[in-house]
This record gives sequence, structure tokens and C-alpha cells, in this order.
Amino acid sequence: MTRQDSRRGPGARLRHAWARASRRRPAARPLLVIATVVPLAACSSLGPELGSLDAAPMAGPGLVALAPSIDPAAGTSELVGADSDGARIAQLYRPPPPPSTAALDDDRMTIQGVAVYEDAPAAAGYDVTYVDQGDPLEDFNRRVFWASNAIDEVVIEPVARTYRHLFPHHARVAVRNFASNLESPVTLANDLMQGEWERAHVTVSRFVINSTIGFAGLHDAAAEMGYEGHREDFDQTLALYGWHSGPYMVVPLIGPSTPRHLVGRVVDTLFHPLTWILAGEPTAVVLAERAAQGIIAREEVLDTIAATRATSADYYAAIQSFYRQNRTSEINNGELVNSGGQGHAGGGVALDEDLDFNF
Amino acid sequence: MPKLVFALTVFAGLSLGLAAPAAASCNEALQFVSAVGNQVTDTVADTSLTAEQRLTKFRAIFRQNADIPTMGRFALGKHWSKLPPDLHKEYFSLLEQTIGRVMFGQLNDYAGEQYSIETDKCNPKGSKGIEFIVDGTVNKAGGGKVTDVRWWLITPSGAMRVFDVSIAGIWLSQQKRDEFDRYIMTHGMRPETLLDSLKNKLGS
Repeated sequence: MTRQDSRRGPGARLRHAWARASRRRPAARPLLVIATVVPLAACSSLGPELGSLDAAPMAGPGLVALAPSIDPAAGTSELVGADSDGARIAQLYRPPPPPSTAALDDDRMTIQGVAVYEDAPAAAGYDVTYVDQGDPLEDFNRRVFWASNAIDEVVIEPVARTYRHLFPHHARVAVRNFASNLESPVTLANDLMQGEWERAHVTVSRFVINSTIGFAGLHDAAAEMGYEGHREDFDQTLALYGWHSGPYMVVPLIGPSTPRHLVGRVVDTLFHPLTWILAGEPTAVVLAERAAQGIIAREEVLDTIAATRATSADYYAAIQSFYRQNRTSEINNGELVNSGGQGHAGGGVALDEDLDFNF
Repeated sequence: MPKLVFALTVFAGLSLGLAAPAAASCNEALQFVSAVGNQVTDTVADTSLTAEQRLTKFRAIFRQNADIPTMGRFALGKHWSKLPPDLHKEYFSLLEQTIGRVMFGQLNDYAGEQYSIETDKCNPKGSKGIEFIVDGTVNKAGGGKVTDVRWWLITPSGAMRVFDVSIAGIWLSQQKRDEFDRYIMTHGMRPETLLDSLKNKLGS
């Protein structure tokens, strides 16, 4: 929610949010096309078809908002509206029998002359479904997420814990350093594409030092000499060039992503030396290498994920927030940005904004 | 005229005596983070304690140095006004447990060798002089960075307190805000349902 929004009244905020939400968006493209290296298609925006509300308000207590598509005789209704931060569309379903007798209160939201009682749905047993505009594939995403989570809990996490248990800390760090050193060409290519000459110099220096003095990358000697590591990828490069990320998606075996990030991952494999070293090898070898990379990465966040899973009211939303914040931070190279009056930046933190203590 | 001068003198004296506390500075913010950072690293690396004991000790440090009520109000955002006042204390306790465990988990993933939390720089945030962002790193004993860490400090009532911490670019209060908002919006828009869920999770 922007600072301008916070100064409007609830009704005005909703009308403003609704006006923004009513823009037509292109139809969704098949995931197969999104997954291929077609940047334009991959970066298409997805979203629900939204129409305007012209229905006159129904008077009386327990008012339920109506859209033109309502058929009162069928006993159901569908409303598309927006809440105060404009980021979500509320779909309100009214099952038979008739609506509740909840009285009007100050929480009502007005959408182009049609009133919805914010608390009435829960009180009257209505189903309220919210569609996050940044996550229009949420239904599908959640199913994939929970399926992946099940595989993670049963297979991947135990293997990662065994790896942690069997190999001492220094050995695991050495493996991590080796894998990270191998990714240097990916980072270097993206440093250059982003015009980050100084960071490219650091990447080259690190690769040379660690590959030689660092025993083929097992030891991060470059960091001890003041050359700190960083990661760049093609998703960050595309972000810098202004490509929109597209909707949030959960991809089987890959996890949280966006169409732009998927394109980025595919392009980055072209810069990774193992892609070419293992080019002629059997599929089983390639898969084994991918699995090993996955276990190394999974081990690094074992306790973080365990704690998050154990304490989250909505684990899916928690991981989504982790992903979005991490991506924003990576794209900004870890720097905080000023919002310039445009609202929150960098995961909700902007140096030039005051924290509003009047929650 | 003498009476006026006397009155003005008394008024000036009273004003000086009742002067507002000096505004916090970046130096104080850096010192605060160094002190808390040392306590944290000592606790996480203390191999004489079990994991559960280290978590308990870490949470005590967290409770002492974090502004949990402000964190809590921020994490609920627009839903805060709907939470009944008699549930505030319970909510703050649940939030402290949740954030404390996740933060400890993140730091525990870096355990295995001695490391330190170093501070690099401090940026004042906003326009009121009561917020600071301290940039730092978690470093290995032998040199080299493990990860970036960032502290968001606030001083609304004078004392310096942690409002949020970012590890590897992820602000934990912000993450809770995203998660709580989603949960409440999909569960009848009643914040009490969030508390029930957290109690179930933390109890299991």
C-alpha cells in the first residue's frame, strides 16, 4: 500500500484499487511455452479477467455485493472487488439460503456503489476467497508446493541431514566452496552483461586465486585476501533490463520461481562448465550431479526451513515471502533503495520512509 | 519587569531540567549491535549447551533487545485493530517464539565454527531520527564472510531496540507480515484464527 493510499478513506481506497485492478490482462499462456526460452512469452503477465461492477446496491441488512453476472435465482453470487491495499481481489460466494441479518457497520467496503460487509461473510458462513494479483496461479502453486514439500520431508531433508551428520563442517564447507567456484563463469557472464566491471574483476580474481591457491576451489582463499564472493544470474540481468518477472509460480523439483527466473535458469546452464563437461555423459550421471547440487543447497538451510515449517501459520506464504525478498535483495545487490515516494521498496524497507508507528 | 525576568528564568530552568533526552545516534546504534551481536554469537557457538538450551538463551537475548510489541503490530498490519485487546499479550508471546525460533534456526545453519557478527556502517532511516539501519556481516573466524546481516533499530521511547533483522536479504518481521496477512485473509479475516494456528504449531 502506498503512502498516498493510506491517507484515503476506506471507500476511496477501494474505488482507487478497483480502478487499478480493472485493467484487462492478457490471457494466460501454457506453462510449457513459459518454460521454454522465449523471453517475451515467459515474461507475459497473467491475471484474472476483471470486469466492472454496474449492479445497483441491494438494500437491507446482510448486504452482499453483486456483480453483473449474478443470477439471484441460482442462489449464488460472485463479486470481484479489491481490499484496501489493492493487491487482492475478493470473490464472495453466497450459498443458499438467504443472506445473514448482519447489520451495517463501519467495516463495509463500497465498490462502485455496491456495499460488502467485511465481517458479514465470516459471520454468515460465506466463503471468501482472495486472489492475490501477484500470485494468480495460487491454487495450482499450492498443490505443487505441498507435493514438493511432501517429497522434501520424506526424501530430500533426511538425505541432507545424513549428509550433515556424516561429513564434518569443514568438509561440507569445502564442497560448497568447490561448487561455488564452478559457478564463477555464470557470475562473470552476468557481471559483464550488467556492466558491473568491478564486480567482474572480483569474480575473475576469485576464480583464479581459488582455483590455484585454493586447491581447485576447495578453499576460499580469495575471501581471506579481501575478495568477497557474490552471485549473479540471468534473472537478475533481465530484471536490470526492465523485464517484468511475471507471476509467482512453484515449479516441480525447482521450487519457487517466476517465468523470468525460469528463463534465467535455462540461460545460466549454458554458462555453467558442468553443462559442457557432462554433455556426453549418460542421463543418470547428469541427474546425479543435479541431485548432489540440490542436497548441498538443501543442507545449507536445514534448520531455517525446519524452524519455518514448524512455526508458520501459512508455510506456503512464508516461503513465498522468503523467495520474493531474497530475489529483490539479489537484484539490488543487497543494497537498500529509496522508494522516492513510490511506496515500499526492497521487501518493504526504504531508507527515506518513516515507519508508521500508528498501526 | 523584575517579576517577568524571574518568571522567565524559572521557566528556562524548568525547561532545561525537563529537556527531552538526546536523540540517538548512529554511534549508539553501532555499539548496540556490537554488544547484542557478541551475545548472540557466543550463545549459538556454545557447545556446552544442548540445542534447546541455546535456543532458550537466544530467545532471552531476543526478548531483552527487541521491541516485540511494535514488531507485533507491524506484523499484523491492517488486522491489528481487529485483534481484541485481551489477546495482545498472548499474540506478542507467540510472535516472539515464532521469530526467535526462525532467527535461531538461520544462525544455527552457520554454526560449526567460530564466527563473529561485525558491523560495517549505519544509515539513519526516515526523517525523525529514531530509526537506524546497521549493516553487518557474519564472518568466519579465519576470515571471509558467511552472510550479510542487517539490523533495523528503532528508538520511539528513547531506548534502542531491534525492530527487524535481515539475514541474507530476508527481513523476518516483513516475512511474518506477508504470512499473517495471507492467513487472516483466507480465514474469515479474523486475527484470532491466526493465534489458534500459531498455538497449534508451537505446541506440536
